[in-house]
Amino acid sequence: MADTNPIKQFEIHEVAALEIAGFDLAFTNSAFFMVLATVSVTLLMALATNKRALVPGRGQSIAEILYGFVADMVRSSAGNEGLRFFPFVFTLFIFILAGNMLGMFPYFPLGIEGIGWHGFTFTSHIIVTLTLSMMVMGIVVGFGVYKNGFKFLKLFVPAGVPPVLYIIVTPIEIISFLSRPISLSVRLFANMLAGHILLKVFAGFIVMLAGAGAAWGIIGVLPFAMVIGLTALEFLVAFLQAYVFAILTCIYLNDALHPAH
Amino acid sequence: MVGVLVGALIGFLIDSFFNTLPFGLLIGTFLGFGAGTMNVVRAAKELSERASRDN
Repeated sequence: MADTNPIKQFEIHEVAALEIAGFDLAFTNSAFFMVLATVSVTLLMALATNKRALVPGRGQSIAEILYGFVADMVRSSAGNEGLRFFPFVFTLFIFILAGNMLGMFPYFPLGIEGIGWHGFTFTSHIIVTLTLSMMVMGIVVGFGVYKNGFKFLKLFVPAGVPPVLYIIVTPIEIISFLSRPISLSVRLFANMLAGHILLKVFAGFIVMLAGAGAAWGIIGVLPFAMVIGLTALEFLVAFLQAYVFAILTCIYLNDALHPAH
Repeated sequence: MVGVLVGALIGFLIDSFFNTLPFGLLIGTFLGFGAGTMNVVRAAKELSERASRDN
């Protein structure tokens, strides 16, 4: 019978060994999909923009819509000053989106030894999403202190609060600030992990029912319909989580630009 | 949601530093609850502002 283990898809495989100063920095399937995401996005953008027609073609329209979408998002949350972070937000958004969408291929045709036919979503690993969110928080803190100096700490002392309440409000603000990178990374990771496990579990039911023999195979139509629905839902989640990650990045960057709310 | 965990963790760290278990943990948990609630309220406010700006 086919392997129906729903968490096998998250296993990390080593493609090429690499060890620097005692650290195991092997090139894995996760790294491969990150490279794939970066290369495919770069190629799409390069191909879409090399003509620079006044009346955009299909490819150029995609690039222009993506640009307008992210630029609007940055402008509406962080103002015109926030546009200096446009390259960063755009890279984050498109990298996560490409990663989520590549993860929707059940079996990506990889002709590499040790991987074979393989599906993998790098955003379903918390270490990847935590790294991305720590990068966002690093930029927020670094740029906030660079631009505002000590005024950046006003973030923890909101205006318009009776002085006595600062005893409670300041710790709450600090905790809320510290919980941001965690909630940002857990949200993306948990959504991708849960969605892909759910898909595999229901797809596994079809195989199990088909293998049960007799009339059980007919009932397999039910989980099959479910899998079709869930796949559509996962595409929505894949886009939505990339969008949510990017828009929250914009909101946090807004704090770095204007710490006094 | 995560706010409660972070608050509790900070409270516990303060406890283990000053040896004052369980007070830091308790206070931290409550403050974390407040922080989590505030995050939700902020997000809701942000979204409703965005919606009213679009219309």
